[in-house]
Amino acid sequence: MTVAKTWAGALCVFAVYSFLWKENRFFRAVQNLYVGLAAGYSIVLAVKSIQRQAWVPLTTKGDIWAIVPMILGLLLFTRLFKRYAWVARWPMAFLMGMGAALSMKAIESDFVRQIQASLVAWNSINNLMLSLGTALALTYFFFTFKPNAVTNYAGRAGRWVLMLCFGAAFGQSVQGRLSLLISQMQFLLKDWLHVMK
Amino acid sequence: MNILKRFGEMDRRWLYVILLVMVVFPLLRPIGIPIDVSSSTAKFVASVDRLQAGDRMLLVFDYSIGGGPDVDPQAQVVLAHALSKGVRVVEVAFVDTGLNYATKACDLWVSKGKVYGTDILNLGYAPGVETAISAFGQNIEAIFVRDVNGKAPSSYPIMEGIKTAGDFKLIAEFATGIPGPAEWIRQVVTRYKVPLACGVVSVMGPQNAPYLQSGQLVGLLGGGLKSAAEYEIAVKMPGAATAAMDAQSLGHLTIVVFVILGNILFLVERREQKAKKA
Amino acid sequence: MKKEVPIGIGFLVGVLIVFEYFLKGLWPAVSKTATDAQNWGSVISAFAMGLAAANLIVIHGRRIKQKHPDAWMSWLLFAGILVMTITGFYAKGTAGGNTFSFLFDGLYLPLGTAMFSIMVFFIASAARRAFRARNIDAAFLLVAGVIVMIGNAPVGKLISPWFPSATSWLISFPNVAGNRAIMIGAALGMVLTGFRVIVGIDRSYFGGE
Repeated sequence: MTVAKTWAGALCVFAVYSFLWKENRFFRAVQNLYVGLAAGYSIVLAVKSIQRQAWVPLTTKGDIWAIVPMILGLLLFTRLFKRYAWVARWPMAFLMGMGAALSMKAIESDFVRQIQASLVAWNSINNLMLSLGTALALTYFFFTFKPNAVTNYAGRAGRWVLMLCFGAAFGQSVQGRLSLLISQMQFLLKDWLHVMK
Repeated sequence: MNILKRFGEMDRRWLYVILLVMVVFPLLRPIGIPIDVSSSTAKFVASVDRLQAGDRMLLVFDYSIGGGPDVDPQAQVVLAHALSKGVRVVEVAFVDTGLNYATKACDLWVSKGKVYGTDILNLGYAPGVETAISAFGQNIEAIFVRDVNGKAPSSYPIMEGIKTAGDFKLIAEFATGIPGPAEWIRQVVTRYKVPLACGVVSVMGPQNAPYLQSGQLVGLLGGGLKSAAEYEIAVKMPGAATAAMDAQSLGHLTIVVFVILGNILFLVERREQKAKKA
Repeated sequence: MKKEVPIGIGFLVGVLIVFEYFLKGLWPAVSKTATDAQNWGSVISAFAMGLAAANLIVIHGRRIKQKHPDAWMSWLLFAGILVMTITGFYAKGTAGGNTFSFLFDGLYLPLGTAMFSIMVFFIASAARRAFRARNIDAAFLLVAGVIVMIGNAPVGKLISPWFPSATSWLISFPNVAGNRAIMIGAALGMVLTGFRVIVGIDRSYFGGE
């Protein structure tokens, strides 16, 4: 089974990499197969999660309220029928209201705490960079202020800070993509061809 | 200049071949470039080192298969480090494919002699991303009514006294997107003040650095596979990540050379255009 | 019914979660209700996963019905869904469980990782033509990117010890400053958008009137 899996995996890698030569039907076929496998896997997990989180409490603990999310969840499927699609708004509203309320906790973790962390003592160039850099980068986003010399120059400096920030992200994103290629090559050379120690 | 022009007009597939050769060569013939441990990795190692034998740690497999090769080596070495110290580990996943990685890791350590339910436990997967994390934070058994084997979590010795996320000594989360450190900090860390250390794909490293500086994270493996290699070196458990670093070095240099040559070509072409206009 | 009920549901759920966050241990009944509501949200999300798969089936079913030239690929997609779903419910060690393991480890995992890994080749070809310092801003970005790429690779230290130090400085200071500003702005946006959704001003999730 392990040999079969390894050979199947290697064939998949070549099928996908064939796209680098030129677009072909083999690549599009495995692309569709991948989407199908992903959808099948998500169905399996969805059913198991519903069974564990709603069905088990309903049947073993007699928690009658567990029926409510199951009904709301089934109502989501009315979205597929044009005439009854409006019914799906009820469970969607539940999810959206919940998500919106949970995201409001960012006021403490991403707003207050981050401002606190940027208020450091200016006893080094680095600390100055940290505080001033944050302030300058924030100034760049003041689009509704009447332009004047201060906001123009501060905004430009803030843009440079943001460019350094995006440059770091760019460097690391290249690093990440390269790691994925290296892992693929390790799989082919070690597990498939056995030429790597 | 001819070489530059030829580089500019070369079929892009030759660039792919050059990159592939530069990555494959050091995998077949390792060079052995030394690896230094960064301060953010050292902080992560220290946070696990502070744990005592018997302490309970939560390991969160929040990564998809797209970034799995970048982040899975991090999770594996952290898990190995924790278990080698006698720390007891509870595994969960809030990303569907994370469940697969969690199950494989759990099965591997059980086959190596760890006792399921005492040393290691796999609670499984819960859908809903931030909603599920928030519910998990408040009451673990409300969201994980059963573990992957169909038994109630409270029936296992490892879960004794663990009711909320705040009851763990350390949470180590590994992510490739959403949910990630931001969601865990919002829903769990801010409320329960539990130490959180995260491992992320390289792309996400810079955007989570502010959390490390503010103290909301106690450790960050922000460099993907490179951070995994640093961790392996720090705990003296070299593995696949360490073996990949020579290829990472040559791959980076190749891309940098392409960028530099491309920019020199750009400057030359711009100068020629200005000369033509004049 | 079509507008008022969903707005009311969103408002009630949102207010419950926000109040629970601020009241915390003060009123245990609110905490328990909020936890139950979040568990309901998780169950509904599981149904949403099924809806995504169902939507896929509807779209590709339409392609097959219309006898699209590439309909054979839709059949392949259906085959993937069917086999994965059926075998996914078998226990480990059984024939069905082994088939699921083969599908997941032998096909799904390698396909997924391979698809993401080919992006580095496009980065390599873009490095030649697209990553150009056309102005001062782009130059800042490119120089920072090149320093980080060299500094993060172990070979960077061999070229010059300055590279890893510069990379560490870039990530720890200008990067933190810039990302922090984005985070602060995004947090404000999240709070305001959350408020708009809870009170029913933002109804984009209605999906058309």
